[in-house]
Amino acid sequence: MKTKIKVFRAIHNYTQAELAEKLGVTRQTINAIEAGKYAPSVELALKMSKLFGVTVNEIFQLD
Amino acid sequence: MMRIYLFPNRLKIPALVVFLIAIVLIILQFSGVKTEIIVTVFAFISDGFAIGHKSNETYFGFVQEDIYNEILDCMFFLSGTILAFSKEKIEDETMTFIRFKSLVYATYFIISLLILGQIFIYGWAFLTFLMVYFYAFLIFLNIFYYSKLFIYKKQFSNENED
Repeated sequence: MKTKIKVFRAIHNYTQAELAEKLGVTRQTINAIEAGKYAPSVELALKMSKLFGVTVNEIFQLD
Repeated sequence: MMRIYLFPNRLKIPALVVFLIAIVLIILQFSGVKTEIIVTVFAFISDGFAIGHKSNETYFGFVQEDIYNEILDCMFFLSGTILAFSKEKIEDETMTFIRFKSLVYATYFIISLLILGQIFIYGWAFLTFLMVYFYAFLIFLNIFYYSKLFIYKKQFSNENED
């Protein structure tokens, strides 16, 4: 699964730690998702889409 | 969303301390250090096996027993369970995933150990094996969980950070 979290993070000027805090997860979780090592739950993906103001499909795409 | 009940994070350190103490005391007991706490206790069933008197069979009655083992086992199982199933400081879905994975691996491991024991250990040695096996699941569950958590935290602590 490909992800554009890093891009949206840069657009909103969030560090991994800030994004993690806003989503209520650890920084390691954000790091693992960005590295493509962990697929987030639907709940977390929806929280991200709400925070970035985009659809889930814009943040995550299948390979 | 469905949530699983976990113990609060503040219980983690006390549980770890009690768990370690229980392990040390259990090892001491296995190596022959004898401690006895004999009191009268209520028993559902007591067949006198441990003291070698079959005539001492009691059902739903009071019996004289050494409860040192029982205290150690309660300390071990309660603290081990709390240690494995207490929340992290920041509990998120990856912790749940790691805990689930550890639970699966610990189950595979413990079943494999039992099968190996059944096939390769005979006689009184099997009884000794069962006594050790009794404690193995919680020990392996905790080892798997905390080692995986440590590796996960280490792996994703610095990588890709801006």
